[in-house]
Amino acid sequence: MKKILVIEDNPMVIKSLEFKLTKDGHEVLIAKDGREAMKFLKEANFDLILTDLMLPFVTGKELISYIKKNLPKTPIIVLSTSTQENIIMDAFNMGVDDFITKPFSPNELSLRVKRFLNKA
Amino acid sequence: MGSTLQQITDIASWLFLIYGAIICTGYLFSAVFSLIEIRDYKRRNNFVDETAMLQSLNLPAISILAPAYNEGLNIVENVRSLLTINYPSFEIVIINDGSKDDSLNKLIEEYELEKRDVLHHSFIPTKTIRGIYKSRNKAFKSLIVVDKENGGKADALNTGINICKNSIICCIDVDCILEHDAMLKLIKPFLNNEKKVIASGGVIRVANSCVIEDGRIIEVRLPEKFIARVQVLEYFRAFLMGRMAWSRVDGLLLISGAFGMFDKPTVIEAGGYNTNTVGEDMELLVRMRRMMREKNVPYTVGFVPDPLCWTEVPQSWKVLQSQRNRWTRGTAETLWIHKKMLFNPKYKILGMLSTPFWFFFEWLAPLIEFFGILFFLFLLFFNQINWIIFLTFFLTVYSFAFLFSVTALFFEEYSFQQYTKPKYIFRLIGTALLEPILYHPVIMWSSVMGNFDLIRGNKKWGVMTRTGFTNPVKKNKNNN
Amino acid sequence: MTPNFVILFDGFSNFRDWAWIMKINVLIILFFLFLTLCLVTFILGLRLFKNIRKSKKKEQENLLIDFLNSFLFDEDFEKQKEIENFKKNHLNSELEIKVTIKEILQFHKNLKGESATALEELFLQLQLDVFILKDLDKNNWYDTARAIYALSELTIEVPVNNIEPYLNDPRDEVRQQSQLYFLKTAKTNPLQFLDKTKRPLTTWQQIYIENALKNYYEGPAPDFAQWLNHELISVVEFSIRLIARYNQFENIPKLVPFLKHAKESVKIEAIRSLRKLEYEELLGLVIPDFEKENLLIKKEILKTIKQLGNHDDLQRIRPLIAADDWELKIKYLNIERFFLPEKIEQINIESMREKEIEI
Repeated sequence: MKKILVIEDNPMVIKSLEFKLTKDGHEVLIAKDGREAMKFLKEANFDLILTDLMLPFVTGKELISYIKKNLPKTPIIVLSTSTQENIIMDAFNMGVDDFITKPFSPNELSLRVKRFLNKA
Repeated sequence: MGSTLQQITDIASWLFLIYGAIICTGYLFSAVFSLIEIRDYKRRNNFVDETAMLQSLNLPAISILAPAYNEGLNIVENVRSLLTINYPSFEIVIINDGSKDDSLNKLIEEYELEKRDVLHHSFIPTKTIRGIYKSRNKAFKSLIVVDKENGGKADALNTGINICKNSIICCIDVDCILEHDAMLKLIKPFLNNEKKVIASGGVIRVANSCVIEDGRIIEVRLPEKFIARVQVLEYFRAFLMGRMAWSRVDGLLLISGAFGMFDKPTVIEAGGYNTNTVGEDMELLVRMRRMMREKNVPYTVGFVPDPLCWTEVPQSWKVLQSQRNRWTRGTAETLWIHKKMLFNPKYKILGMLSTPFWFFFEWLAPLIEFFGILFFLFLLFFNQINWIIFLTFFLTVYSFAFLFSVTALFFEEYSFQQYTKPKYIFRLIGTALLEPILYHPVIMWSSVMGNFDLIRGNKKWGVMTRTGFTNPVKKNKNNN
Repeated sequence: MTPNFVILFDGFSNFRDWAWIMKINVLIILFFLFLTLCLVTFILGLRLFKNIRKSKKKEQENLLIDFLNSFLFDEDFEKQKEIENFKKNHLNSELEIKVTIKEILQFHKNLKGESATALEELFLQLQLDVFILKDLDKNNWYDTARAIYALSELTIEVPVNNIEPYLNDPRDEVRQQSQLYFLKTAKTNPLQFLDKTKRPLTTWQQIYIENALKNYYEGPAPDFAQWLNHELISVVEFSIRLIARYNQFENIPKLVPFLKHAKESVKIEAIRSLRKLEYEELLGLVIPDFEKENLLIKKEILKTIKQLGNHDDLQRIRPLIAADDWELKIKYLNIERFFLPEKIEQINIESMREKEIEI
């Protein structure tokens, strides 16, 4: 069973992701804000990280920069409301592996997650 | 003898009634206007979808300016919390105003800052800039730290205005706590208006005793201390009733220095913050409005009633007194600088309503009250007090003050009800009962002392008018 | 010696003999106290009411989160039976209906693809549209706006005549929602409503229109040039901008005349759009006019040089910038630094020297 860290602050999105990804047979851990995510990242290893960019306490960007520095092998998928080119480019420049914009299709997201997990 | 006295008491009674009637009507109007404005605002924002805004390329980029002086204790957390703001495109400019502590080094270390050559120009003259820093880490791309020689808050903000690159600026206190969507809400008046918007302000709330973690409000609580609790009531009255109503009639004169958004070109054209008044926030807005009016450009000032910004209010009587002393001086200085506007029909509502209101009710009222009390003490000394008469007058004023606070409480309840526990309401009602006796005299005394300090510090005032501000409004003033 | 003020007052017992002002005072005090009492009761009542309402709301929300997630993602969920069940037990009060509508809209807002379609079907199966249509017929602008919002979010179509009058409603909220309604329910030509729009589009409205166009409309992009001659300036500006956002290169010739438009804001949009479309002749058209343009347009021209031109183009501008125009000068120098990264030091020193001379 693969372990996924979901970092997201919208309760509705959290519930849906948790429901869907658990149904897909993954172990899902939820961090509701950047600070909680930091704590989890220091405590455990994950096979994939799914994160929002705008988060309470610590920004998604700072988290990405931390993950890239300390856990460079873990794939990162960004799930964000932003659709602006420059924000997406910034994210890819920082080394994220995929960028999904909200509103999102849960089925598509589940497929992309599977693809990354199979690659590893 | 008897008839003369009768006449004097009659005149005094009439004055009392007229003054009272004016105040009552004023408050009645402000209550009605606020009610309409809040109801409208709530209805308008019932189903606003933030997603579209976050995705938009049309949303103007903003520069958030936060001056910091000896904030080393919390500066790292405060900046981190600013970085988490929900907005598609913004930069954060921290202006280290010659702090004597290690603020700058802490920032350099935490955010991997390095000195950069940033071309800039002093559109508004300021103290010398020692260095401009940006981060090597892409995660902090939106952060700029300016290190400058100490020059006070207004000077620091002016430096920020000179250096920042976006044309909408948001001036905040670095230690205030912003709601995550504060910028999205504050920008709205700029976007949804057919007139030019020069500024927009928001409601400030009291953060004392709230549960705060890393720059976020986790749980809203009513302050434990009486002195802070009264200020909760004061803020309700000032923001939910006062400014809301002023905004309805487009007569706002003050956007709090702790939290306001401005159109930068207009600010620069008006000459930026005035470094020689302690009321720089009020003075700037009045000057901007005056300039727009004199240029005859249609414009407006927006106001957002959502609780967007939380701040710690003074918990000690001493600090409170010096704060109110400063506010009084700020008000008086601003009114003095712009005395030409008072009762001047050319300035429309600003001249005929806003400035007179500030003059009579914000500035003069505490003085009148003070002389009333002196008169009372005089009568007391000569044993001339008829306690029943005293009681009826006192109770009239007291019951009015209480009614006013309860009305404000109703507005809070009606609008955004941050204090959800019923016990909080009882405590606030209790606070409102005690306020006129335990709290108000201190405030009045601070105002009186503020005026006294102003007169005593007359020299400083003289220096002030001579400084070289290069803007049309200021020049007018010197010519007067 | 008796106090002088005793004339005013002759003891508690004789209220009729009190001075008039004191009688008035007593009346005022009683009146204020009465008002205060009313308000306090009202506040407490309101609080109680709101708290009860809030807990009911919370209950319904929690119910819905489970219901909707199971409905969307659980294959073993017996949809028909559960829907009937939900309709019967949890859609009885107005509050329950309102919360349900809101929550479905929330889900819908965050999801797309099959899940979104499933939610739209669910909405109809729960017969929530009946409730929305009732709201639409109410006379309050906020009910109308909210109803249109829900209809457009879930693309529930109603006869055109029901919505069309709202396109020019005095309230901009109503106008905005009806614009979005036509956009989101359109199969082709999503911006047709612009032809019937008579009031200026605010930036706010433009943001939402563009967003809906990108995220909701699935047909072919309309040719935005058809609104370039619209009577409203804001619509013209909007069309110019969207031509660039949608890369409609074929419209470049139609955009060029707008570089000479009388209105500054239109000119700016035209420069921006042609720049985005990387129109090669743009610099040749705008640089000659640089000197007589105002600050905002000058800035746009400089930006254009940075993006489409080279250092030579930039130097053509140099003599046209006034010595004391520091805002433009800084822009200029920053672009020069961009073109000549090897000379950054030199440019900095030069600019510092100039500044000193000025002081």
